[in-house]
Amino acid sequence: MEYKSITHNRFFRFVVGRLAFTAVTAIFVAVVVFFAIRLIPGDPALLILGLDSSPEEREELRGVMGLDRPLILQFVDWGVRVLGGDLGYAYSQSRDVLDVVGPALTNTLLLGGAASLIAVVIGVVMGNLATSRSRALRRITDWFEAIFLSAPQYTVALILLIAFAVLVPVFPAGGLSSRGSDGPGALALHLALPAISLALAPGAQMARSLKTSISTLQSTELLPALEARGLSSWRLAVHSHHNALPPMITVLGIQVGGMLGGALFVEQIFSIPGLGALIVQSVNLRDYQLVQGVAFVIAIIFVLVLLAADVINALLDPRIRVGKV
Amino acid sequence: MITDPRTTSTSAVAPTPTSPPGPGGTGLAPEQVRFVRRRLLSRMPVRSRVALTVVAVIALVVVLAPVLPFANPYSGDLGARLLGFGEQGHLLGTDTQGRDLLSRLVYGTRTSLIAGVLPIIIATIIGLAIGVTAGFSGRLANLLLMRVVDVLFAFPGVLLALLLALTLGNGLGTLILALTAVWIAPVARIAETEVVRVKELDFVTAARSSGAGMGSILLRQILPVAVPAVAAYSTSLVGANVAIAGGLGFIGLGVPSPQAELGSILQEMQAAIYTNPSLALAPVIVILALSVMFPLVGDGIRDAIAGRGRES
Repeated sequence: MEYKSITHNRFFRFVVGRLAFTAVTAIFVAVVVFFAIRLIPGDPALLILGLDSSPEEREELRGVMGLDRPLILQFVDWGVRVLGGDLGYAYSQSRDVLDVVGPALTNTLLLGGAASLIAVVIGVVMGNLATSRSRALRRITDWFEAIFLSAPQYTVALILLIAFAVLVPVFPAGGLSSRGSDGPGALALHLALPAISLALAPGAQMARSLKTSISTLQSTELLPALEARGLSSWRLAVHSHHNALPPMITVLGIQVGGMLGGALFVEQIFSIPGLGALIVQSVNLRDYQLVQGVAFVIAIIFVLVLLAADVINALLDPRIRVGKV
Repeated sequence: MITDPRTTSTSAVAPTPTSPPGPGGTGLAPEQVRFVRRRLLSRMPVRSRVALTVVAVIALVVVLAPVLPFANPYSGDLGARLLGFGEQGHLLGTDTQGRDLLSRLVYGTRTSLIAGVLPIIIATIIGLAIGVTAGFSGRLANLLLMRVVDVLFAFPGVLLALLLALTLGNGLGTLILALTAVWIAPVARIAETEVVRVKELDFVTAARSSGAGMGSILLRQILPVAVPAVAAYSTSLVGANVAIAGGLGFIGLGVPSPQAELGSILQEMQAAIYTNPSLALAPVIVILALSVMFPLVGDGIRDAIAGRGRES
């Protein structure tokens, strides 16, 4: 009973520490996003109303948008509204940013989820191939790993698109079909190519991490000892993968940032109406409120994923939550 | 993509530690220095040497482009739009405005390499300065500095580059500035780790106990070991940086046309994706090759210098 309360306490402190860091990061994200947009030269009112608007109209709109107030006050104002769930008004869409971001967020999360799943599969398969007994197999896996690790997602996306949607049209070239109405089969078909393009780099990175863990373990006497006790090869694999899990989760967490970044271009290529495509469109339309809102949401997702990865790791590995690794 | 490559080492090269910089500089005769340099190259894995050769050839072609017999990348014949490979004397065909695609790609690579390499060089210098400062200051200052770096690190790089590029406006100079900002935090993290690691090694303790001052230890003991390691990492980063620069060009946030840049060429050639896919594929392959080659070269440098400054 005593022991349990101590571990809970330490876990609690760990989570509080990470939450504090997450909060600081979130504030930094807000500052960057806010000021990056405000520093852009040019008059937003002029952009929205067009060149044939009168100066009085522009002045009025600036007043409505609060642009005539000091920058710091505008920031505080914006922060308070964001905390209340109000991300502003997307002029290019004539709707609230939140209403535009909502459906896009769902699509991006779908894509990201599918990509993460595929990445885990790639990581486990490649990690095991890389530690297999066959030298040739290890060599080939090494090459694929090196290419996967640093191939930009949008180049992979274009190659896959040209290969499997244009030359051999197995998969649809774009869109996401209306969710639900076409059934999960169609959705999976639409998600396959973009999800694979996003999954290669995290998959290869996880394979590296799994390979390191397994080869470290192979240099110890744990596996022979377990084998001597008569464990099946399946059970042995479970044991060796269990130790490899926390670093793989950390890697996946960090790689989600890369995936979200890659999604900017990949969603554009496959015309998936997600956050990435939305931010690219709003960049082209110079709808700064929308850029700001979407950038904020993307950055916050990444920060939360990093937090989640750390907390899951702490739950899996007691050494992490007492800070002795 | 942005992970410390040294913690997840691939190649099982077990390099023999040669000439760890002892107290008072390397102390090697000129012949020995040449010997070490040759050894460095020969200690790279084969694939890194292949990658280095490819990068060198590309760099050479790109630098010499103005004197090589390439077609003018800016003048096109609108009647000869989107020609296929080899048609009418255009080896790689033509783009949507009838300009020679090969020559567009060569000049585009020129721009993209500038946007790929310069920000990394600047970010490496700044990141090293931050890392060394953090590694050399007390616990509290280190903690504060590295927390700030961590916060910066927790911002998706592409998104940061996109926001900055949008804020600063189109142009090669502003693109370089935006990309520099992305890479300062990653380099600072690596530099700090490396400085803290080297600081505790025996030859530094020896130098300190023999009365060497702070500046001397930094310049003659720590930096000679830390800088190559950071440089290896930075070389790898060029690949990711070329990728981001290309991506920004792809969505119209890079170098304004008509200047050739790989990302904008990629975007433009999407027009041919159904009619002549191989045309659309050409710029994709160039960006892919550049992005993959630089990390291989970086890995090679890392492997070649592994063991230096380590206790044997």
